[in-house]
Amino acid sequence: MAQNLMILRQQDLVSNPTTRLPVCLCLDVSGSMHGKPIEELRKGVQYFFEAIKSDEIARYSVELSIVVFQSNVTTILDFANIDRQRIPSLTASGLTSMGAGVELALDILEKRKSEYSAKGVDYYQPWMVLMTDGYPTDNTSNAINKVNRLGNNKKLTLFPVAIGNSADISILKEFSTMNQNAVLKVKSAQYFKDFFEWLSQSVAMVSQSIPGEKITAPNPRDFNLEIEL
Amino acid sequence: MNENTFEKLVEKDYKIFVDTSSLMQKDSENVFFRVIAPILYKHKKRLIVPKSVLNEISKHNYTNHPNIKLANNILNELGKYNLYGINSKFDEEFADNAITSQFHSLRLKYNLCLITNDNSYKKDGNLSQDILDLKKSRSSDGIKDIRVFFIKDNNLKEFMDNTQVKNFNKKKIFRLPTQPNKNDTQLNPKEIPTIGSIVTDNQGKKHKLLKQIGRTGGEGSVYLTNTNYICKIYKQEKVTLFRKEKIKRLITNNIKVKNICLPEFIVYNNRKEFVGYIMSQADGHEIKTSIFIPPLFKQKFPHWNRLHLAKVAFNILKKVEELHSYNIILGDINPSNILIKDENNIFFIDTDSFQIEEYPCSVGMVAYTKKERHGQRYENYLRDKDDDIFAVSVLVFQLMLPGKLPYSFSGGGSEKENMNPKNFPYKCYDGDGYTNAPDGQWIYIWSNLPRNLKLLFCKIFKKSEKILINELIKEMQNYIYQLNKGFQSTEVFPLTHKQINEEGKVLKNDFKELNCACGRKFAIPNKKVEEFKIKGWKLPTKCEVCRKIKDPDLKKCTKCNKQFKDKHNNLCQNCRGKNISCSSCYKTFFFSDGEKKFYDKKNLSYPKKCEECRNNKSNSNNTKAQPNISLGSILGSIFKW
Repeated sequence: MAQNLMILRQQDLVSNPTTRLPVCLCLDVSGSMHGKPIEELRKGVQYFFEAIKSDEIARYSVELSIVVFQSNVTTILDFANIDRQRIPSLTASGLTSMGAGVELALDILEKRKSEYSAKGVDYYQPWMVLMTDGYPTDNTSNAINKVNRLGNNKKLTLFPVAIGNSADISILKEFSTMNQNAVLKVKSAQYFKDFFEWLSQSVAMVSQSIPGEKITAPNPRDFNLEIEL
Repeated sequence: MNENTFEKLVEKDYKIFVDTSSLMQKDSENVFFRVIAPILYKHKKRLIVPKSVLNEISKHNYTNHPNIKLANNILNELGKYNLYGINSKFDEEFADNAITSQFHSLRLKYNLCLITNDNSYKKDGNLSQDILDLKKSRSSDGIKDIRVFFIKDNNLKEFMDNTQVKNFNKKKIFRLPTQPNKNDTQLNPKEIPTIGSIVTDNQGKKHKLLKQIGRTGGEGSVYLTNTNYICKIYKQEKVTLFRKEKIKRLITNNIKVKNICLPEFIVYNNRKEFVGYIMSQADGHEIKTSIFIPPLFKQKFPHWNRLHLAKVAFNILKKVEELHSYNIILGDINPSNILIKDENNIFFIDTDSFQIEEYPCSVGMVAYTKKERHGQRYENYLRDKDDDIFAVSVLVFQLMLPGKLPYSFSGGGSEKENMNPKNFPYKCYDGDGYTNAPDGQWIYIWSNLPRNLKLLFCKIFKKSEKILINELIKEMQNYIYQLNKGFQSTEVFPLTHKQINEEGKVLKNDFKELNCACGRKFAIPNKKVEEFKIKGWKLPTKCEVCRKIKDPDLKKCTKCNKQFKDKHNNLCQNCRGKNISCSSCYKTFFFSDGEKKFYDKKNLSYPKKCEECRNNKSNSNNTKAQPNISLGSILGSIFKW
C-alpha cells in the first residue's frame, strides 16, 4: 500500500508539468476547539478544497496537506493529487503542541519540495497556514527560528491565523512572514468559510502568477477578517 | 449597371437591409418605386427594415422633418405589396448600432446587403465603410459577402470600398526607440463604467456593457457589449497616460492582423474621460489551461496529435513575425495570452500591453524572460525583437513538450533558479547526454523531434545564442511537412526514443507496448526485445518511473551526489561531521559522521590527531608507507596506534 501511494505520488509529478504551489494547513485541534469550532473548521477546510478544485489552474497547480496539533502532532493528509484526497474528520482534545506542529509541517513541505526537485518539476515557495485559538503548550522557539530563517530567504510564506479573541497573538506575530508581521484574525467559528474563501482566492492568484513576483492578494478585510498588526 | 448588380444579389437571396438615410433622400421615392420594388416583386423577396429605423422615423415624424413624409410614404407603399419586414432582434437606441450589430452576427450565415446614404468620407466612420470593414475583420474565413448601395441621381449605386488605398497610405511602421518613456501618469477618471453602463467610443458610437467576461484581472475587467464587441475597462489606478497613448497609436496606425485582438476604438465614460478600449472578441481555450495541463489537453482537444501542435506553433510564430514587421514588440508572450480555437485559428489577447515605440510593456513572466533581463523591472527598459523571440521559443518548446519548461531539470528548484543555460537537460549533439532530464516521457519526446529543430532549441537555450524567428518558422514548416509525409511520429507522448532503421528512416510503432503495475504504459523497442530474447533475459515489468522508485527515503547527497537514506539530513554521512583541531599540529581536520559511526561500532575513542599526524606516527613505527586514504588511516589507527 505504502509503495503504491509512493508510485501515485511520483506519477502525478511526472505527468503534470505545471509549476506547483505546496500548501500546508497546520491546524490547532486541541481541547479548546471542541464542539462547534472544530465542526466549522472542518467545513471551512472542505470548502477550501472544493474551491481549489473548481479553479482550472489551481486544481493542477496547488497541492495541499494538513498537519494537526494537539498533545501530539500528526500529518492527517499528505500531499497528493487533490482528486484522490479525502479530508479526514477532525477531533479536538488535549494540549496545544504548536511548535512541534509547525516543525512537522515544515518537514513535509521540505520533503515535497525535494520530490519536485528530483522529478524536475518547478515549484513556487511553499505556503503554511497556522491556525490556533489558544496558547502553545510546548516550546516554539525552534519552530519560530526555522520559520524566520526560511521567511527571510523568501523560501516560505506563513499566514498565522488567530481564531477568536483568546489566541496568543504575540506568538503568532513571531511566526508571521507577512508585512509588519501581520496576523489574520477570524472573529469566530462562523467566519471560517470567509477565511478559506480568501485563502483560495489568494492561492489561485499565486498559481497564476510568476514565481518570485510579488502578488497582491485580495484584501482580507473584504472577507470579514481582521488584521492584527 | 448597378441595377443589374442589385438584381443579381436579390436573386441570390442576399438579405437586404435599409437604413433611415436611404429613405429620406429627395429621389428616394423614385428609386424605391421604380428600381427596387419591381425587382423585389419579381423575385418574391422583401426588404428588412430594422425596428430601430422605424423608431427613428417616428421620432423624426414627431419633430416634423421635411423628408419624413417621404420615408413614411415609401414604407406605406412597400407595405401594401408586402415588400418589407420588420426586424427587431437588436432593438437599439441608435439605428446605426443596430445595423452594425445585425451585420456582425448575420455575416457568418447570410450574404448581406445594405442600402444607406450614410457614406460621407468627411467624417470618420461612416456606416457604409463600417459595414464593409466587417468583411475584413478577424475570423473572416467563413464570412459571406457584404455589399452596400446608396441612392444618388435617381439611381441605385454601389458603394465601393476604397479604404484599401486609404489604409495603405495610413499604415505606418512604428519607430523602435532604445530608451523607454518612464513618466507615466495616472489620469484619475472620476467614473469607472461597469455592467449596465453606456460608454462612448472615439467615433461617437455608444456601447452598453452587458456582462463581464472572466474574472477581474490585475488591470481591469472585460465586458461583452450590445454591439457584439468586447470592451476592456481599466481599474481606476490603471487608467494612465501610457495606456491611452499606446491605444491611440495602435488605432491611428490602423494596423490590423487577423485574430490579433488589437484595440479598435478608445472608450470614454459619461464625462468623456478615457477608461478603456474596444476590441473584437477572441474565441478558444487558453494554451495554459488546455495544452499545457495533460488532463485538460485530453479534455479540450481529445483528437490532437503532433501535427496539430506543430501547426499551432507555426501559426503563433507567423503572427509574431507579422507584428514584428510593424515594429510591434509583444513583450508579455505567455500561455494565458494566447487562445486556441483550432490549430489554424489562434487569438492573441491583452494586446494593450504590447510595447509601442517608447511605451514599454510593463508586464511579463520570468519563464519567458531572458536571464540577463531578470531583476530589471519591465517598465524600466524597452524590449527588442530578440526578447520576443526568446519568449516565443519557450512557448514553442512547451508546445512540443506539452507544458514542460525548457529549464526544468531533475535536481532543480524554482522557475527562476532553473533558468540557466547550463541547466538545459536535453541532448544537444555536443557530446553531452541527457544531464538530469526530468523524469517521465520528456526525453522520448525530445528524441522524436527533428534534429534541426532540436539544434535551434539548443542554440537559444543552451548556448544562449540569438536565433531568427524565420529560422524557427522554417523548421516548424519542415516538421509539418515531415509529419504530413509520415517521416516523423505523430504521437504527442511517444513511448520510446526515436527508432531509426539502417537506411536512416524513422520507424513508427516499432516497439512492444507493456503495462506497468502502476497503470502506466511503457514500451521497449523491438530491437531491444530481440536482444533480451537472445540473452535469455526477462522483459522488464516496471515502467521507467517505477524502476527508479527503489526506496522512497533514498536521496542524493547535496555535496557528493551519492544516494543515501536519511530522513533528517541532506548530506550523506561522509559529507556530514565536524571539524576538529589536531592536538599535535593544530591543523583542523574533518571528522565525518560516517567515521564516528565506525568508531562507535568498534567502541573506540575518537581520534585527536589529524590524518597526517596519525600517519606519521604509524610510519615511524612501521617504515612501510600507508596509502593516504581515510579508510586506510582509520584501519591504521585501529591496529597500530
